[in-house]
Amino acid sequence: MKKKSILIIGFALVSLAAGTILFVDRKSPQTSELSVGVQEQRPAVVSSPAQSQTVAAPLQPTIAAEVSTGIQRRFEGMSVQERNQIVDEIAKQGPIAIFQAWIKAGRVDREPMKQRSIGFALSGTLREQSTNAAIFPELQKFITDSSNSFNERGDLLHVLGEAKTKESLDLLIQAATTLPEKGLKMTAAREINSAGDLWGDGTFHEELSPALERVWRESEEPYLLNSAAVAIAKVGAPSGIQLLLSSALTGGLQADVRQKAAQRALQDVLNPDAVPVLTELLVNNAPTSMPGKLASSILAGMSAPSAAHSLISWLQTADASAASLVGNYVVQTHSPAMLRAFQSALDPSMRFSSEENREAIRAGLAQYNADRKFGK
Amino acid sequence: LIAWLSLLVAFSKSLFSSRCRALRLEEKACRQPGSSLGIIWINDDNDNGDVTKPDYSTGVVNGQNDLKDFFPLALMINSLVSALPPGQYSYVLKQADGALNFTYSTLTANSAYGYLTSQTSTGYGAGLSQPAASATVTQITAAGVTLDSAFLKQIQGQGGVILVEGRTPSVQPLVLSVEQNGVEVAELSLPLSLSARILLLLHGMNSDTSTWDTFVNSAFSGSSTVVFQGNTQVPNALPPAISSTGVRCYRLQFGAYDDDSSARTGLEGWTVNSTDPVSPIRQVPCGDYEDFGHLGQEIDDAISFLLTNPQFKNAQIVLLGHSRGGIAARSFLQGSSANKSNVIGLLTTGSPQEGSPLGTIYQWLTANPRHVFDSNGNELTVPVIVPGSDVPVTEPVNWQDWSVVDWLRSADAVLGTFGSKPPLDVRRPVIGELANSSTDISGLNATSVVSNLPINSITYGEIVYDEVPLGILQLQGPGILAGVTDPQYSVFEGILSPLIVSPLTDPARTFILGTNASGTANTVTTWRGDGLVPASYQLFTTLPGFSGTRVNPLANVGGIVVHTDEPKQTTDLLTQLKKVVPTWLP
Repeated sequence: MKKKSILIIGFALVSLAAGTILFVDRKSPQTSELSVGVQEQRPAVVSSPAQSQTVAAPLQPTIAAEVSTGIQRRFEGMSVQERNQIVDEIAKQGPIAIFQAWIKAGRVDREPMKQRSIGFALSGTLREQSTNAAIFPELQKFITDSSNSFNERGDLLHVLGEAKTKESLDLLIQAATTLPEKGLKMTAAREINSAGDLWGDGTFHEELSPALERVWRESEEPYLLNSAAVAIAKVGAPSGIQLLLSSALTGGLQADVRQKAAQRALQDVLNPDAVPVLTELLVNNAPTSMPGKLASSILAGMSAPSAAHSLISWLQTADASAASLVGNYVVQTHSPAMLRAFQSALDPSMRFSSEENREAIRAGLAQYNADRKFGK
Repeated sequence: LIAWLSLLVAFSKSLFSSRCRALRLEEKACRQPGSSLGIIWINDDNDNGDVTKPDYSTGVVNGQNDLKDFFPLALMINSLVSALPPGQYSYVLKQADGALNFTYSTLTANSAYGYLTSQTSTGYGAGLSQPAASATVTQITAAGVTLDSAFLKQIQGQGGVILVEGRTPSVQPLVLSVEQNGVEVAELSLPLSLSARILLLLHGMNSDTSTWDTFVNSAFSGSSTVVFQGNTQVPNALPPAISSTGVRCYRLQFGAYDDDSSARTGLEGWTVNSTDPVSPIRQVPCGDYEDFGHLGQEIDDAISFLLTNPQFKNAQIVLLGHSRGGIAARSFLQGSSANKSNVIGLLTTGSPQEGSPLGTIYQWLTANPRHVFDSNGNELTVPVIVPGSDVPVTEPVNWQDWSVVDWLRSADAVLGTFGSKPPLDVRRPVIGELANSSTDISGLNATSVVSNLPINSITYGEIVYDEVPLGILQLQGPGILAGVTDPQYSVFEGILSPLIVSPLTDPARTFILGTNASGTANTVTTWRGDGLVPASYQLFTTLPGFSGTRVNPLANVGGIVVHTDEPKQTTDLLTQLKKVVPTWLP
């Protein structure tokens, strides 16, 4: 009971002192019904000059053909093949035409599923035609125009986030730093966060790192710092990793938000290009020093064979104090390359300056194996 | 495109009926010693650097890397060549679908893999005088390709090896026809089955395809294409790269039906299009407003799309579902879609197959709403003492449980505790659906429904994570530097430091944890699992009605993996995948 009282009291104190958003819904029931769960009202007709211009633009042939049939079947009622036929036709056109079709799908057709499908294709086109400069002012205009609905603008930010290109990232950063609406700024920040997600093309897109690093250096917004940190870490460019390492190892109250964000984000590093930076930090510091612990833990969480090689090489030469860390790393291993590397360390022909490190690996592997059971 | 070739050798003419010889041929053609099946995939990646021309279409081997997509086929026909000399007889390779290319080699059955290690030496292609990495290749057509007599003379007495690469899916046999004056006098027939291998990854609730990034990076070198609403981002995009065992990886993004007419509404009228000041971020659809049927439909849509690619005709598909992704997979497989016949494996990890008691928070909140009024319309409130003040403040009667709801979905949760993970809004209808007591779960698990799972054509596997008490969404970590360690967070314990977060109330806790059969109250350790789903509820092959082929479940009992970290556990995933589809992994 005592613990609970403390919790309740502490919770209330923090909420009041920080002006936290936890109690925003404490108004009259009538008010709260309006403030929570409000359905997005899409404008039935285009009202702003920018939108008028967009819709007034000549419809592309495919869209015009759809309209001319008179009776339009709902997109969600079509087969996958039928849907894709429509979207693929739209996607063959330039990005501006696709953008127009995206607007029309939401406002004229009132087909959210179709709009999302076109938005997905627009992301792909932005990625494929990233040098097509004409589209970006159009997208920017739409996002900054407050007469467009919150959800439409948010959805367009997601389209940019899915593109994950330098150009789309620039727009997202601009939105996250300059839009007046907090919700859209945070939506843009979330999309910046996902800029580091894998494209799925087998490469890490380090060309995104400089813009993200600028955000990291210049922003003071916690949510933006957190997003930028994750993206920088997942992109994994050496310069970005160096930047995060520097922040992660900088203490003090002022640096607290950055430090936390950097440390958390660095656990997401996958790019093998980051290995040399981490290795340098590792070999130049004592195993149990803060830099040593940080570097070794990041390497241990990576999947790349080069990270595994670097970690094992370090353990071979490190003093016995490394043994206190390595057991945990082995137990938490989730990468086949890392597991193989740890297993190879048990080979007596592999030389260790401190046998304690090898024994810690052995104990870790025993625990790793004990943790896995095959049921009946 | 990935494909595999079953080299079950059948000699159709009595003259060549030696089973021993046939098996020997099969073994030498197979890349995986000990396997009864040889693997040949369709070589449509781009080792030539030209994305407009798949490697099989260039007429040559496209460099050393491309050689990995070729397979040795040992022609142990020395006796045949002696009996029917090439000068008098023609040896014609035929394949009705033109599904293979080949190039000559000077390799023997005993050195069949020499092209992978001595790539610069000559002895390949036309005239057996080219380097392996740039040798000319020839399509084996329906009309046939007559083998070069010089090659046949060379293999006389010892047999020989040609290197083959796949072009298209096919179930037509590879035929070696021996002809004289256009009349066939003998025939060797190698039944083929070339089909793509596709691993389809299915994310869980409140998640997206990036949850698989670590796995995709580790197991597929980062190559994996996202499918959303039955399409890829770029129409007609090239498929993802093939793995060393011929597997391509796709990731399904759920959410296609989140705001269609079938979408469900959550607590407080919450839909995918709702916004409010607590969580002002525009939501991204991820399936949290769909019922299980529509989640299964999304898988069906994705497979329908994949099968429209001619190269994926007859594709073999394995589904790998995390959390609710495993529920979606089962919903699909328990349905009636014809696409089920393409699925040969299902692996689930951390899936709430029998739901989770934690999902009953949805019922609790339904019965105990944010605002409660008496018969006169006055809101019921309670006094709450604020530290530093003797004057209590008035709060709605259910404020504490709803403060947990609001905190979980707030940006503070992300910034203060959960790092980069998305906020969790338990007002979404998916939470109620995944309650162990929900009608959605009981409907999915009805014996007559479970029995619809294909019995013989699919191998089923599960990974179970255990020993984390129910309610823990994050374990303490990363713990590198003093003072910045993330605290452990449980909805039943809250967080004392560094951010003070209230836990659920005792009545809510009692309701969620429930009682056992003898009426004793359950505890968080009664429901040990991955923090979100009890271990025993992560199994579906134990359900009444299941009679399919299963592999023994892999249980990770370390107590160090919470629900959201399960898709990263690549070693566990690959270990169990190898049991489900042994030839799909090295």
